[in-house]
Amino acid sequence: MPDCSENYESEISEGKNLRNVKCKYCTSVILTPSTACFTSFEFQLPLIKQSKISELNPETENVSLFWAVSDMFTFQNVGFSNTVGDNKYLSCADCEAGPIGYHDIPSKISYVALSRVHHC
Amino acid sequence: MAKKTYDLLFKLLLIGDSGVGKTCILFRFSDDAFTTTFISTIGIDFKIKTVELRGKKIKLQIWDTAGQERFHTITTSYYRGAMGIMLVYDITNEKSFENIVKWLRNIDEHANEDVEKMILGNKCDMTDKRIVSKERGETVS
Repeated sequence: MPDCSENYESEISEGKNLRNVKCKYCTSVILTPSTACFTSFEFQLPLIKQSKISELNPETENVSLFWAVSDMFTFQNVGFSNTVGDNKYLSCADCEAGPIGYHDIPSKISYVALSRVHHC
Repeated sequence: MAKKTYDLLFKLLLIGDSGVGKTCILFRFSDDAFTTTFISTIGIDFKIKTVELRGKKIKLQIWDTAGQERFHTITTSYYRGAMGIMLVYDITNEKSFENIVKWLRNIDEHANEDVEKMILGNKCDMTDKRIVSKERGETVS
């Protein structure tokens, strides 16, 4: 079983998001209920706030719980950054806070980090 | 396969001179602006937005040149697949209005023939500094 130490278990219903996924800063709706699949793996996601601006070497943290979205038009509102390697980073479409996750270009799957969004 | 979560999908571009406020149109609905170093360093490629109109769920995929026009790098690839183009000028900047004609020519050269075009006079809150009259804007449209 994936580790849901931050009580995310109650957010998952039949493998999908039970509630709306919203921006933590401006409450813009990113995903509506039951549109994304829960998945767990390790990824180094750049921090939202960087102490030093370094495009090539950003400060990251290990993130392991994600909502996976296979069709980008499933999103209600979201921003896609310019490409970095094989990825585009996801941001809030309204206030541009992010990265809230990333988009894997080869597989076309987008991953939203549970820890970077609100569920309500 | 999951069912489609929308009724219509439109691919839109925002075009116009630098400084006319194209990027602000994308954030018009946000009053809690939050600029982050990481995302703003890399830059946003496009946004997906959902609006509801007459009971229909409409998805918009919007590209913003975000200053690239300064470097004249707007080419065919940018226009490819666009269904709608919003041409933006600044009502307090004569040059940006004159350049709308230049942008229209650029669109004719590079974009699909059947692309929908819309001209938008921005910064209408600065009426005391208005240089381009409403009538002139309407004439070009």
